[in-house]
Amino acid sequence: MENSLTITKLEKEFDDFILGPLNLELEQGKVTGYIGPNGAGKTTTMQCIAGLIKPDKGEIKIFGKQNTPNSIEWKYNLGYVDDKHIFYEKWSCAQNLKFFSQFYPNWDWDFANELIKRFEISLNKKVTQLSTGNKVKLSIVRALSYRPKLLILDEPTIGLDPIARTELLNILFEIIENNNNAIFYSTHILSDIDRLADELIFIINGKIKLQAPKEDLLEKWRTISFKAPNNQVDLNNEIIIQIENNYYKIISPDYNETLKRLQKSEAQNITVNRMNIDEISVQILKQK
Amino acid sequence: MWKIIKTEYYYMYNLYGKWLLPFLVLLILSGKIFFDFLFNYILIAGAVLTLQNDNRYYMYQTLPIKYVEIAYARIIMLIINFTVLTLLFYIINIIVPLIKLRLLFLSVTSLILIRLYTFILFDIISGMRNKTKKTMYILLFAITLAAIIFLLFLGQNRIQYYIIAWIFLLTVISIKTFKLKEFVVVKEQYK
Amino acid sequence: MILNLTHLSNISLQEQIYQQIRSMILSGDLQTNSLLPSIRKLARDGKVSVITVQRAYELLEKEGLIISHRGKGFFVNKLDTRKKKMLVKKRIIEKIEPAINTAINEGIEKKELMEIIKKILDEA
Repeated sequence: MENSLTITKLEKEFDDFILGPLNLELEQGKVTGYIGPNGAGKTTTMQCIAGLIKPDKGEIKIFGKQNTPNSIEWKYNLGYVDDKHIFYEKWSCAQNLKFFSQFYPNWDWDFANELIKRFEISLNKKVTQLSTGNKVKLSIVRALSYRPKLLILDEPTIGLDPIARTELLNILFEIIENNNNAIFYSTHILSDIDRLADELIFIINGKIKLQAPKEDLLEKWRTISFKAPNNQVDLNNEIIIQIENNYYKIISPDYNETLKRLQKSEAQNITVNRMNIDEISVQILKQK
Repeated sequence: MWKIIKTEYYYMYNLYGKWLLPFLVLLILSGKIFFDFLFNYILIAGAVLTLQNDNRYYMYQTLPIKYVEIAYARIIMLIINFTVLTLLFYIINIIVPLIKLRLLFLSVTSLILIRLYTFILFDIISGMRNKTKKTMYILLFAITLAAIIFLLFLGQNRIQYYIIAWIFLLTVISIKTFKLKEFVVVKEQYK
Repeated sequence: MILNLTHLSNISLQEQIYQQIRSMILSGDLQTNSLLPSIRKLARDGKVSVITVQRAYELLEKEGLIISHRGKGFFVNKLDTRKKKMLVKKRIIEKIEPAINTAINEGIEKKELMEIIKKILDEA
């Protein structure tokens, strides 16, 4: 099966920030979390994918089709949500959706109406009268109604109350049941993505730090505390959090490896604890 | 492309439509001298109407539509507006001398005009996110307006007004054409 | 299939899915040859990622608890009583080992430990 998204050698330069060179491949049927601090390049990447920014170098393919500005087929399978929420302000939600539906041959009004109901959107309200949360919901309906196979979501839950946020995540969980869909979701609120994502990509300062299956990370990273006799420790890529006399508390990106070395150096009172995705992400993004 | 043009006009009609007819009537009734002054003022307004809300331009780029078509849509609307308005005023200009009692309607007309113009400017400029661009456009309008008022006192030569208005149109088109090469609408600036 | 999953646990979601399905199989709630929900269906219903369910199913398959038939799905494997007992024993060992280690670390002697176990068994 071809990739839902292939990014090759993407580069974009701004006055004081450079994105890339970036290489990325997303398979169909996967949810990928795009994680990084503010200013890391997440939004720029997504705007390049959606064709809103022209890259300086590189190529982006969506289900094998290049996202050139003057071709349109690739957009039928791309749903894009960011924080901009631009509509005909003085028109109602219904009028706006009707406008958008004209452009998509695959627009599904049954599905659109179902989403409207689930998000409790008042169709007759003018967009200027909507709260931010409702504008976000409208943007989501606009992006999902033609059932695009690739969803690019750039921090979509900002401005959403917990109920709407849960509803969005519920909808996303339903979407993944189809193994042809793919979701690329950028956020720095990890609780959004830690259950949904299959894979995580970490980006910092415009470069991809790591791309790994979520379960691998959860299986490998641990916090370990131990007592080092004679204060002899054999540590490699572990991060020391605390030292008090002979007692150590460390973070290990591969705890089996670490335990082997600790056992060799006869460490005592070893306790091992799992880490959640939030904690792991912080460590990954901190690394040099 | 025509979907965008159609929708933009329909939207503008929804917003400003109910003002248009009473305004035109008052314009006719308010007299030749004031009419000349207003003529170019409105031509600019017509051009401004076409420049649209930048935000919406950004939104059109998220749609499955060729970017070239979006650019052309804007230019076509610019030309349509100018042509229609020029024709309209040419026709009105013939009717105006036939009406008596103009001064009465003068003040009312100018009030409506200012309000209309503010509406339009607000819609357009509120959509601009680039500060430099905003300043540039406001400056452009101010300069053209000043030039027209200046010419108004130099003489009542309508040809001169047409020339200024069309120079303005061409300036705007060349800015838009230049933009065609790159389809970047908003250049995000990172701090 | 109703699973009760929480991420407020020290046990990973993957492990929880594995354990709960294993329980159902060993207790007979899920009978031999019954069809398990597809990975994607379970991901959707349990509100977890596909990869989490995938890994849990892989574990179950490795243990011989389930078996996959290409194109048809995952089925509960036939387990003879001996195999079942072996799996239950393995689980018990997993549970008892940490307790024994704690006991040794904190100075309980073997003899004392045996007495504790005997007492628990007598009371059961």
